[in-house]
Amino acid sequence: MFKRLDPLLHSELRLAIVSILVNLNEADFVYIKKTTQATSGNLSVQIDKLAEAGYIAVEKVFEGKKPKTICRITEEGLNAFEEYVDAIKSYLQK
Amino acid sequence: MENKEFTPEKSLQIISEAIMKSRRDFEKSAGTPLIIWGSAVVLTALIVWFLWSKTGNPAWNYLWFAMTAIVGPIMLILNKKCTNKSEGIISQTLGQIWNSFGGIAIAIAIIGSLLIPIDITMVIVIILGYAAALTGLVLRNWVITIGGFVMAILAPVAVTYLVGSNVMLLMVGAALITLLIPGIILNITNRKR
Repeated sequence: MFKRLDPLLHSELRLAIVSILVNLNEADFVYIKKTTQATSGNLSVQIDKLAEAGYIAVEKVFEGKKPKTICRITEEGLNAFEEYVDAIKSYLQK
Repeated sequence: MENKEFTPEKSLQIISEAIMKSRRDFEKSAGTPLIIWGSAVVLTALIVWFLWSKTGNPAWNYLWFAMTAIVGPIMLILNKKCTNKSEGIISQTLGQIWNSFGGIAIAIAIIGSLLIPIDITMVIVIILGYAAALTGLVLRNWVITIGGFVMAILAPVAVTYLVGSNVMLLMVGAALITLLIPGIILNITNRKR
C-alpha cells in the first residue's frame, strides 16, 4: 500500500525549502533564494504556506538597517519531512 | 525552481541536491577562517621568535594576547558581514570545536603566564592539532586530519629539541600544517568544483 504524500511538501519549491532547512539550523531568505533559484515573489508565497502549516518558523529581524528574514524548521516540519521521505521510499520499493 | 508536482525519484533528487548544495556552500568559505588565523599565528610566532631571540626576553609572548584581541574581532565582523547566511550542523560543530580551542588556549596562556609555570606552547600545539584533526574528520578532509594528528603527537617530542625562543618555530610549523595549508587547500578544492 502506498503511503499518502503530504501535498504541502509534494511541490518542488516547498520540498527544496524544507530540505535546506532540515540540513541547516537556520537560513535567511537570500540564501534560500540563491540555493533554490526561485523568484522572490514565489519564494515568499511558499515560505508563507509552510509557515502557516507550522512546518517552518519565520523571524523578521534587522541587521543594522537591513531587514532580514530568517527561516527555521520546526518539530512539526521535521516530522512531516520524515514522514514524506518514508512515503517516498514506499513508492520506490514497489 | 517552479512550484510543480513530480515523481518520487524527482523528490529524492530535490532533497539530495538541496542538502549537497548547502554543504558545498558552507565548504566554499570554510578555508578562509583557517587562512586568516593561520597567517596571524605564523606572523605572530615569527615576530615573537625574532624579538625573543634578539632581546632574550620571553615577555614578547604577550603579543599572543594582542593577536587574539585584533584577529578575534576581525573574524566576528567578517562573519557578520557574510550575506546569504546559513548555519548548519557542520558549521555549528566547527564553530564549537574552534571556540572551545580558543577558550582553552586563552585559559592555558593566562594560567601559564601568571600562576603555574607550564609549557604553554606544547599544550597549545597539542590542542591545536586535536582541534584540526576533529575539523578534518567533520569535513572528511584527510590532509587536515592527518596534519592535526601529526602535530598533536609531535609537539611533546619537538619541545625537547626546541629550547627558548626556538619553540616559536614549533608554533610556525603547527600553524602552517593545521591552519594555513589546509585552508588554502580547502579554498582551492572548493573553487574547482
